[in-house]
Amino acid sequence: MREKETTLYLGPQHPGITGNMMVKLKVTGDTIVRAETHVGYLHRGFEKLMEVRNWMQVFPIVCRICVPEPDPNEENLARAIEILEGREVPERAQYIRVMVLELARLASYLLWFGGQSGSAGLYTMPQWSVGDRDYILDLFEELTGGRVYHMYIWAGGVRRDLPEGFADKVLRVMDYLEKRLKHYDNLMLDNSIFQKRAQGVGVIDREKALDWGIVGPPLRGCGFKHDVRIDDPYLVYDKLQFEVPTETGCDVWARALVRRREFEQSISIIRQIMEKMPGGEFYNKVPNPLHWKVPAGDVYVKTESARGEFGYYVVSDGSDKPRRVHVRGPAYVHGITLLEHLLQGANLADVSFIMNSLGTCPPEMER
Amino acid sequence: MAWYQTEIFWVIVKVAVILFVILTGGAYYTLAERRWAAFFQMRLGPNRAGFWGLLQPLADGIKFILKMETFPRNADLFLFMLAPVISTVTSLMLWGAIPFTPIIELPEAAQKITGSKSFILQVSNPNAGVLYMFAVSSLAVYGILIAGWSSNNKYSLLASVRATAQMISYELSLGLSIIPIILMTGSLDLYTIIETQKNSWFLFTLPGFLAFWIFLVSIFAESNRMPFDLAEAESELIVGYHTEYGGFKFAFFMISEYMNLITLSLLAAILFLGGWTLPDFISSAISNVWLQHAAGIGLFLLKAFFFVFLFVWVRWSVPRFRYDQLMDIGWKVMLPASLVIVFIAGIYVYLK
Repeated sequence: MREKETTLYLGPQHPGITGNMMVKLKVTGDTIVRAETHVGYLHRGFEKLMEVRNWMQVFPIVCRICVPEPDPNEENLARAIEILEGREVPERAQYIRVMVLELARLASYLLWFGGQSGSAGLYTMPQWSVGDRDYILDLFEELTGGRVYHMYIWAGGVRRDLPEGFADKVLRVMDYLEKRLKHYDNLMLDNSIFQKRAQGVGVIDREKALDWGIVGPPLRGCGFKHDVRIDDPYLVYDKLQFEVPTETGCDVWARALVRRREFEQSISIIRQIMEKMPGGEFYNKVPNPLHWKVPAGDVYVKTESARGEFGYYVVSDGSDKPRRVHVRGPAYVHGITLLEHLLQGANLADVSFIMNSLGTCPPEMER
Repeated sequence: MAWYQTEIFWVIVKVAVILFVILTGGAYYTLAERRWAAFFQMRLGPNRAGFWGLLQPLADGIKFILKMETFPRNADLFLFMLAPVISTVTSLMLWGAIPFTPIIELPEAAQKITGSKSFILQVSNPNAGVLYMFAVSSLAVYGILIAGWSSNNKYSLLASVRATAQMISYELSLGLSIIPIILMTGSLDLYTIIETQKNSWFLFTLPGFLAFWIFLVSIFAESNRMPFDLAEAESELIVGYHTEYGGFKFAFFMISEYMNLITLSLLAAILFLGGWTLPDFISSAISNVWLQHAAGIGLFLLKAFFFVFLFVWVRWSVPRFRYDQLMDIGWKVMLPASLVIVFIAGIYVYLK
């Protein structure tokens, strides 16, 4: 007897998904037969908007591309312009940029901690981790003036120098977060129900992981040691010591462990930066933004975001506006093709669980 | 015999008192849950309405009543309205059989007023009280099933099917987990069960101790609480079978859920922790009979309160199971384990 299929529309408004997108599910009972992702609910046309704005005006746009983690976008655009112009970045600015990127990674992982366990029904975790994320947002607020969108990293450096006593505050927050990690482990990762839910769920085919273009924690959870910070170091990452954790499980549990261990690595990176940060200029002056013309050329830059390799392809025709900016985010691969593959045969209860483990970010899928 | 000396009058009084207690208890349990949840999550929780937020249930109630009644298109309106009523009525009916106090011998003056020699805060005493409790509590499935079916919403339907299967599966182990107690007592009467535990709670006997854990897990599953709250799984099924319910209809579901939790807490205190009985060494230390009764009832409520707190504690500390895992636990672990425990209890009673 053939079981009858039912169509379930998960989204565009549903408490279990990470943003406005829709997953059309064909289910028999609790098992998903087919999943089809429908995006387009958040399309804001950023790439087109960038083409009609001055170079300086593009910076406030790019940080809106991924809400939980805006800084890799700014870093990408800034570095693309720097490469096209051949502009030097003072060493201090490079250190500050790495600090901002790592803080953003921590903030993003804290959100993930919440999302991952919230989708399994553990609602205490989001309250804790999002509450702790606020300490990082406070740091950002003091440093940049903005809590979520910073517009801090500019071509040629950063917008402001560190405020007085900022390093101490950062270190204090790092100490606090390190202490809190133990509580997170107790509540979430050591919880046998969570382990039962995560192990063997959402298994990526290891053979196809590279073909599909998976990046970031999902790829490292498959045992591939792929990290832009190591493979193609940018800024001062080659002067810092850190590991790239990998797991071999390919499932949600492996991804959770990878993120959990990377969290510690990021804390250690920030501590090293605070030790090594040199003095000097933080900013290499750019021309008047209204008459700022970037030499013609094209460049692909990439940054390791919390969800994986984040790439920008920037084309300039020598005018005061970019000719084309193409954003290649990890969420597009993870959230559309990979999600559809992983949901086939999965349990209905695991849809948002798998979605969170992949770092799906609907605003980034649609730029 | 004056009208106030009739039995029916006092039954009505008892019903009124119990209804008042249960409804306020259910309402305040929602406040307690929110405050305790806030405590676990390092927040403040609702603390604005009145001292410590004590008027919050009242504010919630007013809000629920004043909300616009909405009905989903193509819903079966009669069943849609009936479902919350079934849920509430079944959880109210459960309190009819619970003996809150021992049989109290009344003094002369009180005997003249009540027209009877003794008093017990129990609406009626069916001689198979345990059976009555489980029979009525399984009726609650209908409320959930009908709510999901009549809502004309796939998520609601899926949730109600899940909840029904879950409650039916766990009712087996729940029913089996009280058989050791029935074997040891030789009675289905709740009053007798409490009296038997005067000097030793069933929790401290071997079969009772084993059955207690089955019972504990089963009441979590039976009341659709975390980690078994698959019927209300937010990240999967929105809020489950009452997705389409709003306003006072939703309030009915909510309060019946919390009333059920209180009932199960009381039941756990009655079946395993000795209810309002005081061990001899305590009752001999208290000379006044009335103080003895007060201490017993106070202890009874305290024991039930522990379970009330436990429900909240567990809810905010664990994630939920997946549906197939839940069924595995129910049929492959709980059911065989409770059968083994029944067997152990049989041997235990035979040897004693």
